[in-house]
Amino acid sequence: MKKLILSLSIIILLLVVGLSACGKVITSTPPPSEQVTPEPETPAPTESETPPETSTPPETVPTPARTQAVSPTLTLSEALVDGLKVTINGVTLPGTQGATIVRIHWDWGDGLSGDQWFPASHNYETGGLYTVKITSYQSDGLSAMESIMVQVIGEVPTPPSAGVPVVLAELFTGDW
Amino acid sequence: MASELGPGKLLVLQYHSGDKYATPETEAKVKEYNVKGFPTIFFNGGNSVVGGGSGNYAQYSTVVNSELTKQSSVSIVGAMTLSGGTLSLNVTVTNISGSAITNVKLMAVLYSDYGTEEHHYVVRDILPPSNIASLSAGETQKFSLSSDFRDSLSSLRAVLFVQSSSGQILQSAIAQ
Repeated sequence: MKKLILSLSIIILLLVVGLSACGKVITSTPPPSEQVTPEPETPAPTESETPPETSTPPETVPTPARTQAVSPTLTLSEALVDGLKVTINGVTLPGTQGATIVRIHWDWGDGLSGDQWFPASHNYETGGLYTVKITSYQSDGLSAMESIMVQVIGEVPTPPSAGVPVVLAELFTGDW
Repeated sequence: MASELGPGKLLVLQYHSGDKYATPETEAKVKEYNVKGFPTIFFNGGNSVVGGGSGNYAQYSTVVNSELTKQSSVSIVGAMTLSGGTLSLNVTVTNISGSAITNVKLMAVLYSDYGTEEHHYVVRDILPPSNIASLSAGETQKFSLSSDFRDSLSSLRAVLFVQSSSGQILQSAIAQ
């Protein structure tokens, strides 16, 4: 009987020790993957950014108001006429906020046209009354057009022999 | 002297008489100018110098330079075209003086350059004169002339001049 009690005691003791050992292994060894591969984290906020606070609602970015498209303004000065040369100055400003003037187009009324900034000059071939059309284009595609009439005084062409004498020598020769 | 001054100052015509270059028109011109001996040279219809050779250069030069100091009262612009065996001249005569010019004639004389020293300005044809009864100050008159002279059309040149009833040549020009 004593032997039986002793044996049972040893068995119980072993069971207790064994169970204790098994519990330590399970709880103290996490899966190796959890340590090697961390979950991707969101980048830390920079210093300039306001750290989110859990107590206040997130700040909403205000939606910009829709910009109204406005044509550029175009104001012309009086044309300066010097012989066959005409010079026109003026001012053009973008109408739409944030837009820029990208070019000014000139139709000189004599069949010639092109882009020039202010002040623009043009040499006409002949005198006459010309209508100059100026169009200012801004970066959003809108434009403004103005026209101005210029009276160009052409130079009177001088005949090659005007005023300058050409002497005619008539030589009579031969045999009697 | 002609090559020295150029056609802008001095033009030369050679009227032949009694030789192979003579024509009925040149013979008539000899009589018209009442030429008494050969060679005789007239400057602007007057200022005649009889005799030739290098010894006369100083005398020619004096007359020509004197004539070049005078302001011309007429301008002549002429254009010459050759088409279908006909030589055509379109001439514009303008009174550039401050007063009217009356009773003058526009003359057109065709000459050939034969290349030899004494035959650069040989008259081949004289077109009938175009009478200008009156040309008021600033007035322009246009003339269309033609010649049916058939010989060596391509080598012909045309000298135009306006001559008064007294024989004075008011201005001369070469058709271009």
